[in-house]
Amino acid sequence: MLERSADIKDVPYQRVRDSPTLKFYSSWEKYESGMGEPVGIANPIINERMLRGAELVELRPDGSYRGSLEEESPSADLFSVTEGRILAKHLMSLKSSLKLKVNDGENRRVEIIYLAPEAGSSHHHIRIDVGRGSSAEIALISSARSSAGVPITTMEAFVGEGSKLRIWRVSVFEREGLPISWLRVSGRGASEVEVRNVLLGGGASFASDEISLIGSKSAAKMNSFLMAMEGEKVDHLTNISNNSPGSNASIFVNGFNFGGVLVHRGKLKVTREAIESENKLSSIFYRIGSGSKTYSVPSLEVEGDFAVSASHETSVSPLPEIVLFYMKSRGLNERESLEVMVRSSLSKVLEGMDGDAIEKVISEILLRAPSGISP
Amino acid sequence: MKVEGKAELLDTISSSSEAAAFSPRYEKAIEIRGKVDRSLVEEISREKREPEWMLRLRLKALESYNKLPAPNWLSGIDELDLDELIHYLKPDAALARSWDDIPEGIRRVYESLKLPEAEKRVLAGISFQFESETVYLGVKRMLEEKKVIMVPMEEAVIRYPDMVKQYFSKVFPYAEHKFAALHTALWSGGVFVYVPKGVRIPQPIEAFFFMASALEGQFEHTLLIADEGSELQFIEGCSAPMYKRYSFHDGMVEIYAHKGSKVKFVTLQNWSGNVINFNNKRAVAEGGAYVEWLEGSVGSKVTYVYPSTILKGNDSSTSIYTITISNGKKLKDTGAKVIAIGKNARAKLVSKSISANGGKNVYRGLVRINKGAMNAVVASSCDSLILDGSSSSYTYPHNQVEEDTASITHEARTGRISEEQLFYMRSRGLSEGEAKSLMVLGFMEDVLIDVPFEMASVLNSVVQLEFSKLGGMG
Amino acid sequence: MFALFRIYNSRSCYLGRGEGQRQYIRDQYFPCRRCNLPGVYALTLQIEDLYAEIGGKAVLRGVNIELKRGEVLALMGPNGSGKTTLANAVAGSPSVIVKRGKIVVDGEDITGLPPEERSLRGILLLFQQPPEIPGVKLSTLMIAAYNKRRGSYTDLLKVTDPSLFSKMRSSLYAAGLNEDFLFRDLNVGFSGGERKRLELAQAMILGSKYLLMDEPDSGLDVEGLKAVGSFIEDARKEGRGILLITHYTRLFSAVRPDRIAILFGGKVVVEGGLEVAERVEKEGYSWLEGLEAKRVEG
Repeated sequence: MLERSADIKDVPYQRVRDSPTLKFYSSWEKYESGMGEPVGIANPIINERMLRGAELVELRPDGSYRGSLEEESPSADLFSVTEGRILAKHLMSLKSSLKLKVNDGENRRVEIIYLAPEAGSSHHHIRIDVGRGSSAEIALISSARSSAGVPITTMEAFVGEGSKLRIWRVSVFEREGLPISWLRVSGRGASEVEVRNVLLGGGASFASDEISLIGSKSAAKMNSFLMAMEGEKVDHLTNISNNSPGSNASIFVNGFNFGGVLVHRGKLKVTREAIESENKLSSIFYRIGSGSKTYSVPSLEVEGDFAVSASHETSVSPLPEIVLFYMKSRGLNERESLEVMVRSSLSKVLEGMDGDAIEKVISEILLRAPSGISP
Repeated sequence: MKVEGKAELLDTISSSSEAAAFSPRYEKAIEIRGKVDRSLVEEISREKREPEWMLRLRLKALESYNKLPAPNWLSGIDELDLDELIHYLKPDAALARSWDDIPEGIRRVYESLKLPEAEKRVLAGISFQFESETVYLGVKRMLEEKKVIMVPMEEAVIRYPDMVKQYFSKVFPYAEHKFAALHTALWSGGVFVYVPKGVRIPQPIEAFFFMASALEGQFEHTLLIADEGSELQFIEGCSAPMYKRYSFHDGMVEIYAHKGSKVKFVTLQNWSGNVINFNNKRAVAEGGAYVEWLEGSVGSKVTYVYPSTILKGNDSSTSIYTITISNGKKLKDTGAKVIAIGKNARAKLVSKSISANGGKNVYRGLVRINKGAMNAVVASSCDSLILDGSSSSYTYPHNQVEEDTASITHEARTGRISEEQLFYMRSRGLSEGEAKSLMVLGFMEDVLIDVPFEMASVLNSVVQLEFSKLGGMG
Repeated sequence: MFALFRIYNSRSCYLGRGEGQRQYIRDQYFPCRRCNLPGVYALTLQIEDLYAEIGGKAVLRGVNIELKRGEVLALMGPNGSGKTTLANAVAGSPSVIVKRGKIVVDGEDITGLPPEERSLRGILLLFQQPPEIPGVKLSTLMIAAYNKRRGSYTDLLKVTDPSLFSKMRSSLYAAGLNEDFLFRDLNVGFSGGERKRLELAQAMILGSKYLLMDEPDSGLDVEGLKAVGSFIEDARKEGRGILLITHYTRLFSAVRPDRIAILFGGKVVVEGGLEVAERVEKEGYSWLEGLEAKRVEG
């Protein structure tokens, strides 16, 4: 239950500061000033269905929805109004909470299309319950042309024993858009949770993914593709709290920065329960345009000497000469080489979705890349 | 940068635990304690007969201290109550230039640290700080001939005001965080070193800091200025006896490395297990200058130290090595920071941490490449070794790249010693503790090959001492 | 047949914690090397009625083996018969829990001792799969192990005997490795063959009295096999006892074992000469099943 009485003004943007030298990595003020009553429906960039044969759900800016989900009064178990001001405002603006229930042994594929407002903010909360021995594939697609709106989603998922949950988040915005999305997943024993992101542009896109693994032999896998052009910012968080014995947790983030701002903060926490687990966090950022800013904070927290492995690595650099040279020696020019790299990174993230739709997203992305690439 | 024989010198650092075993008796001249406010700061300044400008600086810092929030990334300092500390403690001893003139109680500490011998044989200069004041300063004639200045910080304020004004609190502005402000308001002691253009000092200079009282705050300020093309190596040792109550150390080191100079700053911190240690360390490197930090953190209850280099000039470079050992219920919050401003800046950050018996290590790093710091290359790595189930390791590296041509990499691994590895070593005849200390040394190997041989050998014996007692007897 | 030479001596010799210690008398008599009293014991590695488990699973079920100095005993047996477990149990691996029985070296019961104490008493295990130990070089480990064997040292890592380095070098060459291996991290990135050769080199450097060679031949080429063979031959001449664990008889052309024992189902079911190996070569291990049953009955 949310405390409607909480005084939002007193809630800070963030409880803990990120860095001694930067106040915040996230553009909280920007989001706050963009929030308000939703106006109109922005023109989506992606019109294709991306999950073939999936149930279709449409989320609308005014808080209403269409499709096969159950509606409940607003409530969130994994989010709290005290965490931060924007989240609090969102939770208190919810008209309802949508519930997606996957019964034991059942398989469900759902494509959720989020229609963003042209201005103002829209609010949706989705709760996903995946029973035992079942599987769910969910795609959350949001995209908008020339929209200054703040479409916000919170998603919480509970994955039962031996179940699989795969979530795609495809978020494609132009430089005015301010989408925010929080995802929290609690995975039980022998579950497999996979989160894949394509985050493209927006004046400031915020996408936070957090997975907590409990019970033994679970797996959490995150794979994200980030891209920002000049005047755009993508702010991405990937956290895994691993409490699962014999588990495997991995985070991989690949960013292409064409002159915008990319932020990635990832934390891999390996607790004393996660005995004999394997944990890896890695990120690679390429700078392609000029004037880019990249912030990478790959954190690792390891308690006790129980894990088999725990590591992280990150690099921020221009496209490596050797890679370019290799591709050129095969007859590709710079633009083509870049295309090959972007394509291969994207196809890993989008694998499992509809082939034609993938092409559409890729071509949208390549269309944005400026023609005069100078690595 | 080659520096001759330092085995004896570093011996002094490793023998600091002996000195720490007894609490020295000595006469106190002045003791200022209690609430940190304007009158307290004025009193310290008056005691030191400081010029007006330094008092003003202290008071401005005090204002900042009162305004700034406590850093919210800190943990482990709940015990710290700044208002109950002795902020200034002057032993009844005039600054001695010959160690025969030091009062006996203090001299015993000094001797047990084996400092007189080291001074005679391997040091170019040495200063010894006891509580809040420098009680001994020895400078070899060679330094005087080369016009190197080495004086207690207070003396520099009076004799070289222009130089002090130019650098003091400029490399590390007091407004940066609460404890930097506190330090600047209350500073006492420390050394001022100026190395003139082109002068290379072949032997290191050492400063040794000793805290003899419980509930004491020590706020020494070290300022090193290496003029163009000069070379300097500075070694810092820290020690304190064990008391029931804590002591607080909030020191500062400012280094200004002018064009083409090389400065190496080595610390082996071995405070006793009740010291809360906060050390603010920063260097500015001008064009072509090289600054090297080596921070060996072994002792103390809680340590916060982040040696930092601002690569201001073109082609400047830095290496920062941190080795932290948290053996027992200790917290080490350390890390290296680099801010690249000039072109072609190079930095190498290497951190090795070892956690054992409930110890916690935190690495908090910053690599910041400002716009315009073209072709900056920074490689950082931080490896942690966790020896048992009760210990932990946290790594928070912040990489902020605002320049297109920069390349930075960071990698971190957390490792353990597996039962299989341990059995292999034991099957060759080594006890569990011996096997562990060998593996800990092996883990530190790639840092040890970069540090002076003697330093490596001190760390070597520290590790063997710390870890060889683990497990069964051999 | 194992009890033939056993005499229970009423006099205690103070070996170890000694009260009522069993003494073994074979063909030679020696004064007790600890107390120098005229107690007697035999120069053997004796494994008596050893029961052991790994991870709660019983693997060894009453193994009896006696290995004399200057003797090569080849231990064969199918996968999972407990050969490696036996070697690990003797060397004191913490993963093997000994439930019953004892291990006696030169008259001293070492069953409860930590692995390093066993090693210092002359037991050296050459691992089947030596682990990677990053940061620790062969030279470092050997200096430390050597110092421990000399007994008194001030610094574990100080080279006290300058000849040690030449010994390490020559041993590496004899094992078919070059001296670069002295300064490389132990086994890190080594091939299987290199690891085996490195184990062999360590056996040469440390000169232990009893060697437990766990499949020293696997992953080795013909040259490697020759090196193993000639090493074992030399070790036998020097009077060291060798327990040679192997899957194949191909090593026997390079070195002829004095005896062959077959471990099956956690027990030694057959012991004999080369003819046993030949039968294994021809028929595999299936013929042993009946034998095991017979022994259980007996």
